Amino acid sequence: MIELYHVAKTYQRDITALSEINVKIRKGEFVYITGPSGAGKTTLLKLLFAAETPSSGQILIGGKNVSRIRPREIPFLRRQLGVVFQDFKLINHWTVFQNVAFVLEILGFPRKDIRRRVLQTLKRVQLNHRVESFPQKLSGGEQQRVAIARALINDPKILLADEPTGNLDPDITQEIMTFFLEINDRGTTILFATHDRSLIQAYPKRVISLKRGSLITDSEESSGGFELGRT
Amino acid sequence: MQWGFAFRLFGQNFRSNRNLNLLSVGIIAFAFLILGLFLLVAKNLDQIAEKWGEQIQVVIFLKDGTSEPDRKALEKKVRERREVKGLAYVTSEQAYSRLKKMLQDRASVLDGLNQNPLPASLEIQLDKKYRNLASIQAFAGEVREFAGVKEVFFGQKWLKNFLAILRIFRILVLAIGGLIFLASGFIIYNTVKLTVYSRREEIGIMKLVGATDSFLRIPFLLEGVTQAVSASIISIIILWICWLIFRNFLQVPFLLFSQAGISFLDSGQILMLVGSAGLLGILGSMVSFQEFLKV
Repeated sequence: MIELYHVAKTYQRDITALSEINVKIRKGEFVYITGPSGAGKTTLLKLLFAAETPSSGQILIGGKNVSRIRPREIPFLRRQLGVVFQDFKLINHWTVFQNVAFVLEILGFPRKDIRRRVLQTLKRVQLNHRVESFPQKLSGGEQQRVAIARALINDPKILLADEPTGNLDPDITQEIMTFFLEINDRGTTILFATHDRSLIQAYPKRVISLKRGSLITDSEESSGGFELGRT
Repeated sequence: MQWGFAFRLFGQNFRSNRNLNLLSVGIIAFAFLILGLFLLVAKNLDQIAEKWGEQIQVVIFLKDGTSEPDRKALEKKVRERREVKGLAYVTSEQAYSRLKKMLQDRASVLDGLNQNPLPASLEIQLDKKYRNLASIQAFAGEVREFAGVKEVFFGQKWLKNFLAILRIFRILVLAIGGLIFLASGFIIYNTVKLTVYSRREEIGIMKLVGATDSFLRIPFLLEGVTQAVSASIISIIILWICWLIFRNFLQVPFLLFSQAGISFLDSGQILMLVGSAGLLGILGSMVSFQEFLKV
């Protein structure tokens, strides 16, 4: 589903954000990307949704080479992915409904279908009572659930999450994690960037650890379940 | 492209950023008010010049003893010329009584004359297109050769000065108008840019969930155009209200200068103002939007 071969990203010639990353992620997997601040977690995700281009190496998503994507193809790649951010990235002067519906609007869905699907998805994240609220009136956990609903509305095959629980307190973190695990159970591949070790221990899954831009361990590889980097 | 949604998005944006939009409309309206005011002043000054221009006359003096049929033939021949807008025949008696009237108290100087020395004449008003020195000289030169013509007069020196002043005035109007137009354009561009700038985060979010540039461009273009066009209309309304208030004060001095009264911008000029506002709105939002697309 996602393959990275010798991927490197450098900024201004000498600042290395990522180097020699070789990873394969199968369909339906739940993978943590972990490491301290500045390890390269966010950069890795940015490369996957084409907010950045790799300095070298190849990135394949569903067989499509993302590292050589043309600018006008980027929106179409993003429509196949769901992305959730630590700071939610919601449009504050839009209602919850409008924030989620926007994804379907750009895909040209009929208004009736949009309404039905948005309400369905908001129900799934237990926000059906907040449809007409504005994001700033919601708690952090609720805002993140709106962001998750937006990421899920188009049934993406891959969900990328960049520290989605980073701003949330432990109770809400648990709630959000439950959502992610449910989504994963339904077959969505999830890449979950976090520096929170306790979260990984509470919900053990495959873990890719980064440090100063290099991949230092991959739990899959150490358990022998998947051969990493031997391409 | 989902136009329906683009329009809804535009409406939504306009409402939710009402204060910023009102501020932008206000600034643009101010820029257009200055431009409109300039146009109004220039238009009325030009009307005065136009009135004065109408007084440019060519007078054809007829030879003494020209018979009625000859005079009529000459008149017909002159009237057929494309330079001629109007023609009046002044008999020698009419010319004499005019002169007497002009001299007023000193009319007694004419008493010494045994007979009326003034010739009959044709007073010619020229078409606007031919009110320039070269055309008038050419016209006078040709008419002078017509049968029955004694002399052709057009006040060459006065005309030269008048036309020179007129030319300088028109160049000044163009230059100042151009400068004000550029300044207005710059203000509009920067104001629209401010709106787009305040939305850069929003644009980024929309792009992250898969919106294409062309999809996003439409609501922003609509917003830029709406701001600029509504601002131009507001400025015209303000100008018109000021006009209604001050018109009566200005009418008298203007009438003293010329027979031309003062008038408001005509529909063509109003359309031009609104049209250029729309154009500047499109340009402003297109250029500034492009700057914030790199997400």
